[in-house]
Amino acid sequence: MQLQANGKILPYPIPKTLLMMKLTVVLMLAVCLQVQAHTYAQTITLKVQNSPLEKVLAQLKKQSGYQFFYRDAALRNTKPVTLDVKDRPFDEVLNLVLKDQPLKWSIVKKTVVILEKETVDIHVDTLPRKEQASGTPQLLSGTLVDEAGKPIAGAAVALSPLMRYTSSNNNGEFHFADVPPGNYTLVITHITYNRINRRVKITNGPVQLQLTMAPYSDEQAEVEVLSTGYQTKSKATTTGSASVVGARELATNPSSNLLERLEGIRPGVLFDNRNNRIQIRGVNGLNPNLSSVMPLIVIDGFPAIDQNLTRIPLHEPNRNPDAGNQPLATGNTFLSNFNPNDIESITFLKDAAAAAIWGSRAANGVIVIETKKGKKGVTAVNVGATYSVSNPANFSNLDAMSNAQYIELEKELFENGFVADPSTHWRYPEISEAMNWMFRAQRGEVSAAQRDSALAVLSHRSNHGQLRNLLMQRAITQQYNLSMSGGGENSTYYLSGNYTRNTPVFRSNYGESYFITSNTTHDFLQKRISLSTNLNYTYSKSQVNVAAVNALSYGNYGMRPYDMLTDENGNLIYRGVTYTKRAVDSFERMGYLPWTYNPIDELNYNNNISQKNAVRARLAIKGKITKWLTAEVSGQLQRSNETQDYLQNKNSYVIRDLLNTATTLNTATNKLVYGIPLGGIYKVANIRGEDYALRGQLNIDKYFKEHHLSMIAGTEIRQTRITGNSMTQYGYDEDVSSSVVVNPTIPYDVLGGGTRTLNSTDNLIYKRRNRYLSYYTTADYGFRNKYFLSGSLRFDDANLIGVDRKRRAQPLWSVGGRWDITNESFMQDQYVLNRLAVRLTYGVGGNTPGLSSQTYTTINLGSNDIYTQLPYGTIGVPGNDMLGWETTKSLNLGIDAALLNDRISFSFDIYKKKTEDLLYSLPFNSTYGWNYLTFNAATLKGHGLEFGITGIPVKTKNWRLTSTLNFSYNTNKVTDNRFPRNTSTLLSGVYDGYPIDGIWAYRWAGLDSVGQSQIFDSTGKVLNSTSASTSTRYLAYQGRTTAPYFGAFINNLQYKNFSLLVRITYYMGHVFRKQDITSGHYPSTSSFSGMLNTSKALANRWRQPGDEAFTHVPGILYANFNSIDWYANSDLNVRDASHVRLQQVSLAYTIPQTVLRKTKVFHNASASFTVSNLGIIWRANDEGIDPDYVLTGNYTNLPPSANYTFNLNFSF
Amino acid sequence: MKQLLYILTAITVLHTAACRKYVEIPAENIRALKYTRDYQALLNNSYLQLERSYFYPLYASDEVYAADGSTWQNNLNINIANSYCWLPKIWSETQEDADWANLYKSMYIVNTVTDEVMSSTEGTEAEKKKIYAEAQVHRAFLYYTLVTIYAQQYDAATAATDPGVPLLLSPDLFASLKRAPVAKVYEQILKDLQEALPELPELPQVNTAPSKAAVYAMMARVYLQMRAFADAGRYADSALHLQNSLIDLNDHVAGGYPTKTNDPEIIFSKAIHSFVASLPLHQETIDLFDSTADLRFSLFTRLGTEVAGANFENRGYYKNRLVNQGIYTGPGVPEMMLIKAEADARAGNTGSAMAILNTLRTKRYTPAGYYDLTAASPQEALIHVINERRRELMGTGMRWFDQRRLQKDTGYDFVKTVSRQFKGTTYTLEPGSPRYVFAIADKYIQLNPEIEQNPR
Repeated sequence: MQLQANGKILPYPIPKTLLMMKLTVVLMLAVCLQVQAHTYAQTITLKVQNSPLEKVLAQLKKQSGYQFFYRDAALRNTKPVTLDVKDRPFDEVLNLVLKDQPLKWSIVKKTVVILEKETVDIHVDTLPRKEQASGTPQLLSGTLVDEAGKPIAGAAVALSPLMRYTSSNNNGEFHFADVPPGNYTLVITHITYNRINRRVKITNGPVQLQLTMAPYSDEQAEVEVLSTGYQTKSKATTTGSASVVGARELATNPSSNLLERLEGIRPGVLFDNRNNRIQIRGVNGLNPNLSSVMPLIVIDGFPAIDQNLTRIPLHEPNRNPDAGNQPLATGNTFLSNFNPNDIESITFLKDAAAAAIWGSRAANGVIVIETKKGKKGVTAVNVGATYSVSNPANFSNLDAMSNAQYIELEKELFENGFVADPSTHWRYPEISEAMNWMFRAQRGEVSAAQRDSALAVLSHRSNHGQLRNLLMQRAITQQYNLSMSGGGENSTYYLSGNYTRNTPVFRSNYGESYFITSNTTHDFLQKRISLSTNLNYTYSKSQVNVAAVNALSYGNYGMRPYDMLTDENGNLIYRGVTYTKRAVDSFERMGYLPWTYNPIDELNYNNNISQKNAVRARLAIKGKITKWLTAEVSGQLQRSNETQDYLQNKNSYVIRDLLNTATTLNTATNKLVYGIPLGGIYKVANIRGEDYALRGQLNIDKYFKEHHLSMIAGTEIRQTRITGNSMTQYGYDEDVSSSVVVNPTIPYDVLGGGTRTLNSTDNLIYKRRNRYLSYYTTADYGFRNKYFLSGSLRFDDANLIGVDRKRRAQPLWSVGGRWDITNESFMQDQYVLNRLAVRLTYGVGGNTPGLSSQTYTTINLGSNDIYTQLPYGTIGVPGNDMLGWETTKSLNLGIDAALLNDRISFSFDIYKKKTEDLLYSLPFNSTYGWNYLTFNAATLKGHGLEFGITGIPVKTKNWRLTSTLNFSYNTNKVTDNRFPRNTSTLLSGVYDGYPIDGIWAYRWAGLDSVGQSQIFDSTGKVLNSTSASTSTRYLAYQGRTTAPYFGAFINNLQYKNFSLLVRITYYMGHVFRKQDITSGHYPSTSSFSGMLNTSKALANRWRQPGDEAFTHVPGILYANFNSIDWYANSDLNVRDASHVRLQQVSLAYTIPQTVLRKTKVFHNASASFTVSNLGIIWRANDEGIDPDYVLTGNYTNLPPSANYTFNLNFSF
Repeated sequence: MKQLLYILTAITVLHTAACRKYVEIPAENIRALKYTRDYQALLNNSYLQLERSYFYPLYASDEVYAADGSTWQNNLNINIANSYCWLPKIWSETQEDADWANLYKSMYIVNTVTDEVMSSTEGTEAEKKKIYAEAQVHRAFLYYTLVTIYAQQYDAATAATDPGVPLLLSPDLFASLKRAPVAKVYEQILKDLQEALPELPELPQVNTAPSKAAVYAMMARVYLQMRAFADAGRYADSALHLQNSLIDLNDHVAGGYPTKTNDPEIIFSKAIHSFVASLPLHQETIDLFDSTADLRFSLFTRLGTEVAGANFENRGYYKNRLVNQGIYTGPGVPEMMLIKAEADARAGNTGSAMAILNTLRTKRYTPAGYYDLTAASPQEALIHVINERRRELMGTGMRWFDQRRLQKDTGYDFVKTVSRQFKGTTYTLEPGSPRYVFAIADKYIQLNPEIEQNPR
């Protein structure tokens, strides 16, 4: 038995008891596809001789574009049709065809609903039912009205579990006579209204109902279909654990950053916007930034060439496309790899059964993106504009010391001889204004009182206003989107264009991208062949300039808290960096280039501009071989070409510094000798990516009575190739694009004596080529629409150097089952649960070692030794013939349920994972020549649970509140006795019995009498940072760095046409190190020139014996590496990272249809206002630290300030 | 339609058969080592790898000193400071010992060469043998360096039991790291050198490459450490037979000191490539020089205040800054002359020893200030030789190794108790102190507990 709608074969055979439910699905689908039907041929030409009615209807459908709705059973007793008409109106032909049949029909919009004439009031229940035994049958009647109170005719009304159905008459009335007492469900569907599922209880009297149907909205039709990349499946029949996010839900957060849109909306998936990372069901490796531990991203059925949803522009050109995906600073620019507005659905495949079809790359889960396709009969044009704005983070949130404290710090350095007096020799670097006063007083040039009053002035001067106004700006993101879709009988199209531009808070930075998408489908040969194409073009451009970030960071280019950018008259203040202003002025008089620095000037120079063109083309041909067998050949070609232009202008400080350093005075001729040609340095890097994939696949979709088998089998090849190269030109003149040929291996004389060489490594060419070969099959079997079994098997092979095929390719598989309990007959008498299904799956996913590790020792060639000029090679990776695959086995038990007419829906998954042969970069003994080596090292066990619950606590005519709570728990533990944890090992790593992302800390024992850290050893004895005690340190386990508990609470309140969305995310149970002082940012171990660490903790440092009673912060005078390292990594500085964040609040307004109809132009118009980054609403630490943005006193680590987004959307 | 089905089936079958080859292609830009030239390429990596010798012992020697409270001390990297103060522990548990790691990294490379080069392709037997021999000479240098930093000074009486260093001879990533006895390490060094000798040219194409001269020079160094002075002298003489040019410093008073590859004094180039702005010299070392006549004083040392980044006020070593190509630590012509002179002095040949010293000195002094050194006894000659070593090999860390070995010379005060003030604390190193042996970094012992720590 099949139901037909829109030419689609419904996916399963339908036992009678379930018919009504399935009919509603059909109706729903049809509705979804037919809402705005017009533009059809209106006349029919038909010549048939004794043709079955079904075929005739199919012909009619094809010619008219009308949809037909009927049960197969309804046609069972129909007569064959003989007819010969030419160019007759549709209605007339239809009338002729159905005239003498035992059928009745009605046309609603462009759909013909055909029902058996006798259905009404005829008792066709064939299944014996217990509850029918008692009580007097009653009349059940009702009236259907729309929101304005007008009757609705032609709605299909079904009474379940009795197999009875009817339709509403012109007065909107329906009735069922002789209904025995019991519990029933009324399922009412209509093409232009939302479906109603209504539980009814019949006791001992007639029941009369008044039901209001809401106009059709997409909401209910929101995809219940998930895509694995190889096939689409109904979510209602899948065994695996997967979450789907549809376009509508994606649109609730209009951010141009896809990660932000997705955060928290599904359980089990962790989005870390700050570090541009995604984790599905926890961590599988120690370095979460490695692509090998990130989920696979698939777009339109094939792995995407860009394996990140968003991209962070690089500061320096790099040939290696994998390099750098870390933000330069919070709030800096990013680029999207995919146009969020083109996305129809994103499916997260979480467990083995869902993801195993991706075989060797499925161990970390799969993210499948499907782009929008055109819809038949619909020509819709959609225009959207989004504008978002946010201020730079507030300086007052800095965890920084005051100016007076900063000067105090400088004073300590000065008094203890950390800094040399630059007046004694020109070679000393520039010192700060405060130190300059101290030296002047020391030399007697000014009095102590003059110095103190000057320092007092400095301690009251703040440059925050100037930094804010001159180096920063409001961050603005603009998005414009235009799309058009539609289609006729045999083809559909979707076209879209998008422009996005974002300017971050740091001046001279921006990113912009253009997306153009065209997706089409065509049917040929009586729809036996269908062809679909996707074409996508992306152009993105970004500019990175580090002047502002440098000015706000520690180091030589950092602005000390009292350093001003301009004087009172607005003139730029220039400072010396490498040498003092006095020294460089004298060099300038000798003919050297200016050698002073001001960040405002630098905003104009040294921009790294990268431009990327990416094209993706996909073509798929699907042929119907038999009714149940189709063959499909598809291929995808992806090309990307990125050019990075980094012009270090001749006027920029970096270049002036480089050139001046290479300039010497020939004492004989008294002339300057230039070691490097005058002019800028121009670096160009190119990265080209090519990726093709070809797939042949057979699809079986067969019904045998109550059985349904759906199966695919196929084979696929794929190649990814990336090449990159770079070039550096010296003496570059921008005006004429000329440069000077330089031999970078020849030493040049350096100011102050000696020589240096440029040592360019431009001749290296980056190349990478990976090939994959796969065979795969999956099968889904359904019985009576209640029991489902699935299985998959995949065999992957890839080009791993020198690896035996046996080790290279392993079969990966999964099995799963699903039981739809509500479809059982014994569930029919209750009306609390309207959906309940249990899923159980088990399977194996894999992870290949990749190029970072090889079983053979490899050599990298292509460079020359700088002194001998002989070509040399280095060993890339040592051979390790024990390398093999990493495999993750996972077991998943899931429950899906819906209660009270879908008022509450619920899904729950509990899983266990076991990763064997975990690929792990093991700390290795350097005595062997390598300090890290990749091994199939440990065994990792993980488990977790996740649930999502959505309820509609309030639902009235005007009000509706939808609340969703997502919760995920994930934990993991290394179970491998080869990695024992002893008390003295590393601060993080793989250890038996501990999570893979665990951290350890020293047990703090206070400061010693010279202000240096002390810790406890394993016996409780105090260890001094400089003592060479042989007793080992003791490291105490602190917890995990990834939140084991996380999720979101999303509330959507609708009032008439307004809706208010509040998204709250929470992360619980993890820890972080409060990095107020680290060895890299402590004055004793870093350079003293430039801006020092301003962390507030440093203001409380130890200064003199006795201070150790009051403070834990090590002093500077006797600082050593151990001391700072122990302090930074002690349990003193570990904090609970749990927090709850108000992620987003948005208010949307949709213009009512009644108003829109009058315009006769718009079908839909809406506007929204969103505020995001609202900050933390609860945190476990009481110091006000945002665990995602650990306060280091450094501006570039501050959490971003609130972002305001306006969005307008029209469709017509 | 059936035909289509057949066609599809056929395509699938063909595809399956053909595809296995599809993935059996090499990756790009990277390949397994296979050609003889690959192994030569590994040995050519001199600047970044094989030429690098050691760094931290440089600061432990008694010739380095800057006054307490100087900016130099305050700015000193903590690990350098630990070496400078002869602390029993130089590296924290989490740190790598840069010297150890680098020497053993080179070891992995030369072991890869010795392990595989003979079975490589596209090379003649002679080429392979030569590359093998070169790797052996590098390996000898590496073990010589390791054993003189991390193990007890060679003593024939106890060498068979004194722990040396882990002796790895193949790129095996899982071999035991138990420290081989000092004697065994020396045995291996000599074995490598002797085996390599016949396969090498008398002089190399570039001075970073091993040659017969390099082998003889290394032999001389090794025997000197073993106190086999006659052998040391003999090999030094053999080395000098092949290479004996000296730079006359008078030619370079105005500059133009030769770059490393053109330096005729280098026999086998090894270097410290960590940047050293200038090394502050102890007054005792400064006082060894005739400041007006000895050009090594005026060319190779300079006041700290005149050097950017030096941060001290006394005189510092400056030779490394002349061409900025590192501090040379490999065997050279002057060192061979000094070894020969020492052997002669110890054998009682006073005249011959003094003649060698004076040959060297003529190239170092201004003609006006030059005078012949004389010695009345072999003992006096030996003192002259040792002082000349301090002058000639200044700033290279060689003094540290001399301090270690000269403790065995009773009756001389070549090695005194050294003490220095650092950030207010006084540190002292007595002759015979266990801290003349560098500690092995804790990290390595934690990873492989079979490595035994030196007595602290």
